[in-house]
Order: sequence, then structure tokens, then C-alpha cells
Amino acid sequence: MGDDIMSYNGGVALAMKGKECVAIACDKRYGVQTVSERLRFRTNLYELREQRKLKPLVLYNMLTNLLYERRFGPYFVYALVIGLDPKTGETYVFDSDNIGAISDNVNLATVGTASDYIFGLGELFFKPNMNADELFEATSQALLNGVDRDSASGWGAVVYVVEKDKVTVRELKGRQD
Amino acid sequence: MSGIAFEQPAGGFVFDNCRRNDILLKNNVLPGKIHKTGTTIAAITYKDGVVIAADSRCTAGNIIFDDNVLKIHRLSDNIYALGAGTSADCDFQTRLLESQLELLKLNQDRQVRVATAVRKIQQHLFRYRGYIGAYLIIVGVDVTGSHIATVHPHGSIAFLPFVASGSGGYTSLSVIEDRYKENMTEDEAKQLVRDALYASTTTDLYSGSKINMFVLTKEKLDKFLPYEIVAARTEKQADYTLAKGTTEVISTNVKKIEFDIVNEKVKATGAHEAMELA
Amino acid sequence: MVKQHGWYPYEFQSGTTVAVAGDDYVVVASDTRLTENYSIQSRTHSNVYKMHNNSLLLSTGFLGDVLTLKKTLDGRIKTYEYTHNKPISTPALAQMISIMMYGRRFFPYYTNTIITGLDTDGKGCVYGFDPVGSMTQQLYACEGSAMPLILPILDANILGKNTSKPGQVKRTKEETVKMIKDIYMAACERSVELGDAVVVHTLTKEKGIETDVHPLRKD
Repeated sequence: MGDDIMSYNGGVALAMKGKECVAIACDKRYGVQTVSERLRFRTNLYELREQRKLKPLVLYNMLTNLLYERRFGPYFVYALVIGLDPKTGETYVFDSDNIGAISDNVNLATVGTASDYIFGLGELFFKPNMNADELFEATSQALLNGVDRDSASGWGAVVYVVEKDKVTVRELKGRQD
Repeated sequence: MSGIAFEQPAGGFVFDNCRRNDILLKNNVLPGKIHKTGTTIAAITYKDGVVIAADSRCTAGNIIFDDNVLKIHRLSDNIYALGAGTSADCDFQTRLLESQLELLKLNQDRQVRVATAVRKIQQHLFRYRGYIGAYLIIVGVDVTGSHIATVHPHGSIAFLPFVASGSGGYTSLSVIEDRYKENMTEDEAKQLVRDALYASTTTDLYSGSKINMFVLTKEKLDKFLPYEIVAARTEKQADYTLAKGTTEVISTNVKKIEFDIVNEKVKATGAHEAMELA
Repeated sequence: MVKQHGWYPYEFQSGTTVAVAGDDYVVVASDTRLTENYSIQSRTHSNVYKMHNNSLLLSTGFLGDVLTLKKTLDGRIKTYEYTHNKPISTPALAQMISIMMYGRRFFPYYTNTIITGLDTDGKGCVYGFDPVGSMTQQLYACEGSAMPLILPILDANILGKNTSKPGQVKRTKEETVKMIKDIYMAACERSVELGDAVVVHTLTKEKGIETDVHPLRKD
């Protein structure tokens, strides 16, 4: 199934949907390792036990379950799950709060310290059925400009664009302060 | 990493972060905002059953996180719940209850009653002393008739002919109080609930977008998803498509995705069927 | 910690304002929703106030202070005119507001204020203030409840920040009006306090103030 990329190392993350492509971007400030390790463990176990790759919705359910287990002592993690079904081309973007609130499959999601600053840009730059290049530019511009107005995130950014047959990872130039 | 290798989800809550979080909070590390449903939810009984409705807005502080949320949760074929308050609590507690009721139904081999669902969740919430922030309205039709119950996080309950809850609950309730009659027809009931929800979606800041409605009777379940779109985005006047090359890229790395679908077609069909089930 | 009960004389009624200066125009906008806590007080209240000298005052925050600030300013603008026999220029008015606000340093007007107009050459100018009178002249400004959503958009669209060719993007006043309407539409999707309508005023030397009202979501 589609390669799913989760963002757990950044002050902020943003995901957007295009036509048969989906993008996720994050800045490069502080890292949250434990949740991704725990999730990696559970996904590996799932894939071994079930003998198949897990689908985006399964990963999302695993993540929200993991977070809600710690409802009364949460991880300080806001996560996004994105994915693409290579058979149908259907795209998935899910968000969650730090205790595992379940979201719909949305067009645009952003979490983290600069999310308020990014939502406006995201809504302006988003349009339905973008191609991979348009999607990359929209995602990158929304992230970089949003992050510049936030003191707690920054230090450049990484953007992943997932398409049916490949994942393109681009490192972006950003303010280093 | 070594600790994780032994980890198996055992069910129930895990409290191993509590001490750490206390220390973090003392050092002014803020946990961030939790998603709230904001919400207006409403339910009324009529001649043949119940009509329930909810708005579709999910907020974190003053930011709208999602404008297309379904706040009507299935508990069993004849029982549904409306959730307001902390999104995660509403999602997971109704899911938990749904599975318990399904097991109960299979054990007893008969339809579950509304009172059972209400009592189960009431006792569960009471155990958690109000810390599970789920404000639920549980509705259903069973052998004893149609029922609406409101359940608060501390575990107090009330069975009522009509109720509304959430941040826009009072607005909706005033509309229902004004026009509610016993033994209304289905159309009257739908119209009343719609008007109640319309009033709160337009006036309450934390409710909005769409009105989702279910009509539940002994014979049928009608789903209106949505019943009405109160407000939707308008068309942009200019085009904001960014030209290729707008953003400066330091490095690009392309990873090809290996298709395991091709492999699975070559292999046995068992794996393929298992995939379809997911 | 000991909990202190204090006298808090302020309320916050939201509202979001945007001002963009051009070479021969200035475009200002405000949404028309007035809120308090969870509910809507008015769907038709604009936060743009036309001053006697054709400057436009944009002020959000505590409405009581906004109106008092405006009233006091009206009086002082007229006094200036009678004393100096000419209308006050927008830059001079900005300086006056700054001094007025700092005069209330320890009991400030709880307002986010922007003053805009045309300078003596007919060029658009925008001055932004903090509640105690710190003043800066800006190319564009945004204040109010949806500021976090809107300000980065202006950074990107007007200054072309974070692009391979950074620098100011020149726009005609019609393009600016369109952009501002779209920005309000985008912000309206994500902010609970912004909605109902956006009022856009365009100020030019030739045509004076032109006003345009654009509907937004009502929920």
C-alpha cells in the first residue's frame, strides 16, 4: 500500500491534498521520537502478524488509540497522518490532537505551534485537484510564511510529496532564527 | 528503545507520562490545545420515534479544525449517541460502549435496551469522576418505546422528551421549548429540530457549517448527511496558484515506491482476500 | 499561589482589520461581526471609522475604548483645523494618536489601532500602533482576532517572502481589493470570530472613499 509518512519532528506540520498526490511538510526544530518509535513498533508488528502493509486508516487508528491510551498523561504530540492508495489514487489526510481526537479525511490540516499562522495561508493557497508541483509550492509557501511569524518554530523545512509511484523529499531554504 | 520491545497494548488508560508531564508543566512547557466539538446537539421524541441532529464544527480555541465532523455515533442498530465536549472522549467512549453493547447483544441474543446503554456509560463516567469530558445524549428505540437520555461527565443522567446540549445547546433548547408538542408528526419534528439547530449554528460561534440529522423509529433509520448546509465556502475571486520554482529548494531526493500489489497478485490468493477485508 | 480578584474593566469584542498602502491608493477592510464570549452582538458593525480629514481609523478590541478614542480624536482633529486653518495630515494625525495613547500609559485604551490615509503627495500610508502608542509606518497592517491567520498571507503576497525572487509585489487597487476579499474568505473558514461580511474601502485622491461590501459565511 501507499507509503505513509508521519511527521514527528518539528514545531509544526502541514498536510495538503492534491489530485492523486498528497504532501506533508514540517519544520526542523525539536524532535518527538518516542511516539514514532512506539508507532513503528506497532506497525511492524501489524505487518508481521497480518502479512500485509497497513493502510492509512489503519495507521491513523493505531495512532489515535496510542494517544488516547494516555488520555490522562498525554504525549505533547500533535500528529498528522497522510497516505495514498496506489490502486485507486485516493488520498488521505488526517489530523489529531494530543489525546487522539479522530478527524475526518480532510483537504488541509496543520498542527503545532504555528498552526494558527499557517491555516490562513493554507486556505488561500489550497484548491481542489492540484498537480504534484502546484501542491508542493502551495504546501511549502504556506509552511515557510507561517513559520516566519512564529517564534517557536523554524530552521528550514522538509516537504514530502507522495505520488502513486514515488515520494519526493525536498529540503527548503528558510530563515535560520 | 529496550522498554518498547516488551510493549503490548493491554487496554485501558496508561499513566506513565503523568509524572513527566507534571514536571514539564512546572517548567512552563504548555501542552497545547485539545480539540473540542464546540457543538450544538439536539434530540426530540415524536409520535413514532426520535429525531436527532448535530452541527459539524470542531474547534481548538478560536480556530476551526474541521467543518465536516459527524457527532452522531452509533451504539447499536437501535441506539445512537450525540457527543459534545472533548472530541477524543466522545469518539472513544462511544466506540467502547458500542463494542460492549454488541457483545451484550450477542450474549443475550436480543436487542439491547436504551436504559442498558445509559446505565453502562453512566457507571463508567462516574468511575472517572468527571475527568472524561464527554457530554452525551443517548437516544434509542427499544421494546419499551423511544427514549432520550442526557448523560453528563460526572455520571448524572436524565430521561427527557427533548433535550439539547453543547455550547449552542441553550439557543436550540429555547426554540424547542417554544414549539414542542407531544405526538408530533415526523415532518413537524424534523422541522423543529432543523430550526433549533439553525438558530444555534448561526448565533453560536462554536457551532456551524452543516446540520446532520437522523430519524430513528422501530422500523427505520433515516440518515440525512447533511440535512442542510447552513454555510459553505464561497468562490475565490482571484487565482493563487503558485508558479513552479517559487520556493527555493536546497536538495531533492526521490524515493520510488515498490508496489507490493504486483507481488501479491503473483502469490497466493489468500493474501489478496485478506487485503480486501481491510 | 494566592488567587487575586481584580477589577477588570475591559471586554474584547473581536473584529479584524486589514490595511494595504499603494502608490496612489490605500485599501482598508474590516469584517462586520461583533462578538462577545460565545455569541454574536452585531453582524453589521464595521471597525473602520472615517475621520473628518479623510483619514480612515481602524480600531478593534474593546468597543467602549474604540468609540471613546474615535470621539476624542474627532474633537482634536477639529481643534487642529480651527487652530492651524488647514486639515490635519494623516502622518500628523498618527503622531497625535501616538501621543494620546501614551498619555494613558497606565490605563490604556484596550484597542488595536491602525490609521491610514494619503500623505501630502497622494501616496497611501498606513500607521500601526500598539495599545500604549508605539507607532510604526508600514506597507500593510493587520490587527484583531484573526491577525495570526491573515498577517502571514500579507507577508507572502505583498512582500513575496520566502520565494526565489523576494521583493514587493505591486498591485493595482482593484487587484488589492480582490486579494483582500479572498483573504477574508480564507480566514473566515478557520476563525470562529470572523464572519458575516467584509467591508472594503478604497481611498484615492481622485475619487475619495469608495466602499464595497462582500458577504461572508454567517455561521
